[in-house]
Amino acid sequence: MKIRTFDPAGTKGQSRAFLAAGVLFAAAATAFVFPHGARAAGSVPTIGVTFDKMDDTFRIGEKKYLDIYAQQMGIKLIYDDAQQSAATQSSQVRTLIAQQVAGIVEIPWDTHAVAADVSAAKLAKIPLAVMDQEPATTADLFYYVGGSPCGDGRMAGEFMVTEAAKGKHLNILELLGSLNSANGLERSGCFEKAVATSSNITIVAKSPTNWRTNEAFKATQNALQQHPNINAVYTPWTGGLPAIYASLKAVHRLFPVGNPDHVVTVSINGDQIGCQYVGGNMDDLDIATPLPAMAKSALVAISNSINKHESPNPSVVELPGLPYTPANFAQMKSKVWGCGG
Amino acid sequence: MTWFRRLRLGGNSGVLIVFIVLVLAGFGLIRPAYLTGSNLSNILVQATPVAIAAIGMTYVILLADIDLSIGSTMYLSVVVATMLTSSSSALMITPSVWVYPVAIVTGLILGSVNAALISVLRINALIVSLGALYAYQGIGLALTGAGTQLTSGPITWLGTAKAGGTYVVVLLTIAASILAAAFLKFRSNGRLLYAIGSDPRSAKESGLSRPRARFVAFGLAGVCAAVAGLINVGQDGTLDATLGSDFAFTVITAVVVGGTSLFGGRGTVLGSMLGALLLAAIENGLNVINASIYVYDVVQGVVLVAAILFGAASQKAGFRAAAGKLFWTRQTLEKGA
Repeated sequence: MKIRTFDPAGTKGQSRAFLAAGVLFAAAATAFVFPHGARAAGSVPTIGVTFDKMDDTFRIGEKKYLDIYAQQMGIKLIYDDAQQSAATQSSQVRTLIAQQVAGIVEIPWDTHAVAADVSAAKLAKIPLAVMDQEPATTADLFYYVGGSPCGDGRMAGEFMVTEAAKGKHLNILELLGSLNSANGLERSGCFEKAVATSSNITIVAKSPTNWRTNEAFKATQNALQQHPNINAVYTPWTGGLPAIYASLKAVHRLFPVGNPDHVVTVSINGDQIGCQYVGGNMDDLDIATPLPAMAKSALVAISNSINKHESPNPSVVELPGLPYTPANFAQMKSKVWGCGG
Repeated sequence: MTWFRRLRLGGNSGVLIVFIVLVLAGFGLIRPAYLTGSNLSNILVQATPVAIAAIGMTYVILLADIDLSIGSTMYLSVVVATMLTSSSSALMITPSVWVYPVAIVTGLILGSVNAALISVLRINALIVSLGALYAYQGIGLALTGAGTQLTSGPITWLGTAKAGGTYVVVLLTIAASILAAAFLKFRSNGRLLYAIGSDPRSAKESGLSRPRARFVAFGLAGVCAAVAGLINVGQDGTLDATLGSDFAFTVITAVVVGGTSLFGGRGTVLGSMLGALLLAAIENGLNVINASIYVYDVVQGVVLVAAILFGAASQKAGFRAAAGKLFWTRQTLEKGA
């Protein structure tokens, strides 16, 4: 590609660049006003929250419950989005420290790089609670609260084992999340260990999806083509469900739970999509991450540190997922965050 | 390598066809079911979003420009279209048939905004499209609250419909690529892209309008991105914030593997179609042979680099032969002297 001469020192070039940036910025700004609010600290304690990304229902749910509990606890939150960059997130943490916020909640993009943020916050005597993605090392860690990826994966596997015990040999397609996601790897690893205990189960295919629906669609379509005997699918996030059902529908194999030709599906998340499909009698089991409890726990830990100078004990908390099925949907839906619980 | 040139397919299309055949044969040997009609149909369908977007990207790269924003254009076009044509904003949405024209017009507008910023303000396309990548994605995320929506109704038609046993998207892609190739070959605006891309200075001195060419190229890239988005959403039955993520890089890879020069002025739509097909064939093959999840990226990377090197080698073969002959002649003359 030919790069045309651009004179960064010239006023003409600069003004063009600024004008272009202004046009793009104005376009973005007219679409929304981000509810950040001013960062000036008042009498209300301010906690900074840095998200690793903000592009899925799970993160939106986390923000929703952080907002709810912050309001209840009289805490002001200010948000940052690291946009999948550990370096950006690290600089956001340092900016929050420089602003002398009362505490920080971090959902880390990189579970190794977060260690430096934890140390920096500790040095500045600011409580930093890590949420949802467990740090690789717990040295200097003030608090971690998250789901139990291994426990949830195991629960999904045990459900498959129970299904297989009913007499039907299960040929499973296993969809994987991202290969650099600890949560995804743990969910898959513990799922595999659980199903390995049954001789009536075979994982006939497994495919990485990078947490993308379209990747899940292609993987399911290809697997169904090569293994027409697939009668169960495991997806470590509910975003895979629409793709699985679209693929099954295309080969005329989409039947509701209870139909003898139904393809068993098991998912993890508990968001609106899982709720829709479990409630609609399509998904056999969804395991809801206890997202409200997670958000509350992180804020309580910081609040207690600020107000009572207490350190959380234990400092690492894994909250098990909440399984719900079409059979118990009516009773469970009020407890599942995606169903409005 | 002269026999490749005899195929007269343009660019390194002949090489790519051979490469695709090798890939098909390789995966077919490992797993014969890979070569069944229904799986080959899967490959074609899975290649269509990238192939459609590659048409627009070919035009852009022929001009020696680049558009990194097509993934975000794809996302924002579909978001705007579904919002304007759906009666509710619940989890499950059913946009009307107007979703198609609205998405296409939105894509055209977004592409034209890029062209305007590049041409009027004279800023490098890389910088403008990088900015647009974030801006368009940000607007889309703000409009949807970064949420996911399940889709039904007419929007799923394009991704799932068949005509005469063949998926409509495959027919659409073939028709679009023929039209796009014909436009480049037979229309003055099409030839303009080659002229400007290969020598911008001469083109300018000849009075050829680069801004006009940019509006054609970026406008088409926006339209193609919107159509690719409609195909994806139609196939998956879901519209989520990951739509279009990293899409531009896959499309650029397909175009470059297809023989279009990043320096502009050289390349074909057919090559880009074959590039997209090669990528889909490899991904499908890795799925089908149940390859270790860790080798996906490695194999794809190696095959792509090999395809590019092979293509480059075949294109340079003629040049090398001529250069070699010249060198030999010079040596002979010097010895004689």
